[in-house]
Amino acid sequence: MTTRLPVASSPAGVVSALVPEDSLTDIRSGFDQLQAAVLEQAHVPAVTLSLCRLRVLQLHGIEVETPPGAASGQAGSTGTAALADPQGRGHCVGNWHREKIFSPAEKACLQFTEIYVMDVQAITDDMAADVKQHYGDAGLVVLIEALGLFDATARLQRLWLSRPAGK
Amino acid sequence: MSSRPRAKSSGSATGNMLRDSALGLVPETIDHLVELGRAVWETGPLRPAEIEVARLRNAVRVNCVFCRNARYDIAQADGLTEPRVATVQSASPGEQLGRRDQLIVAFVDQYYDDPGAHNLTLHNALRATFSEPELAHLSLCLAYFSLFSRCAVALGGMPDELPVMQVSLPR
Repeated sequence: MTTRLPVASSPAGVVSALVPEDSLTDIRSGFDQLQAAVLEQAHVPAVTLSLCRLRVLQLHGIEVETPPGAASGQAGSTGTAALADPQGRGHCVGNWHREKIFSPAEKACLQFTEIYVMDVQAITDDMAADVKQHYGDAGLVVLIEALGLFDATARLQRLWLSRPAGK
Repeated sequence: MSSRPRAKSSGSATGNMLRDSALGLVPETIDHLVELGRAVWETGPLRPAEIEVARLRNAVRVNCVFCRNARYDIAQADGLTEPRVATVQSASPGEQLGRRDQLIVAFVDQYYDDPGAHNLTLHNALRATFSEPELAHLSLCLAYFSLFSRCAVALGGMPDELPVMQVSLPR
């Protein structure tokens, strides 16, 4: 089931719904700075990470509108620009394995993403090697850090921002 | 789970387990990871022993052997005992734990089992027992521990067993 929710861009964005802006500032700014650093590093393109984020949200049943050129993050501003999908391919990401618009490097990351979300223990050495073939060891680390942020944000978003049906 | 590392280590020998691991391959993010870890432990309203309860339950749910067998010295100094750890890590901790620990465990389990289920009973119990800053802190602790333990598993090189190890916050 897919749920339309306000989409937080980081764990810090989710807890904005719980506490005032001046609460837990060191931890919240720590998450925002980490997320900005992950999205701005030089090893994996931000567009690729954005596609992986969209797949994470889909797998958690969170509906995201992705108009071409528009940023997909809303609640919490850090990293929002870097989470845009300027090529407007976000709506195809659920069928990435059949789509020719995704590069082999993007497909390697999307495959890794799916297994990471569903069962991180089920990731295979071959999946990791496929990512490394395109982005190297540092790129694999970046992808895993990014997925950790995206997955945690999605889980907290569902925990705190979802409402019972009809409310 | 692969016992073979999937990424090389950073090659540094700083004595900081994060910087010396594969995470150190990305200089753009490693300082932020270390600083965030310190902020999670040192700047929120939850006590270290309660943070450790959340971390250890998370470790069990992710099955991160490194995380499961680590014990933070500041949590031990705050009163965390091995019998309490054993209960937190058991399949059904139930009423052997204090009320706050029970709810921390239930929150972690909900995070992994069905975060979108909107468990009203759990939400009401959490709000009746913890302040909103404590709940926000618990949420951000769990986000950090989840990120970190899933990172360790995804990077491979995980042994099947390890002895219990006392660790300090990385500097």
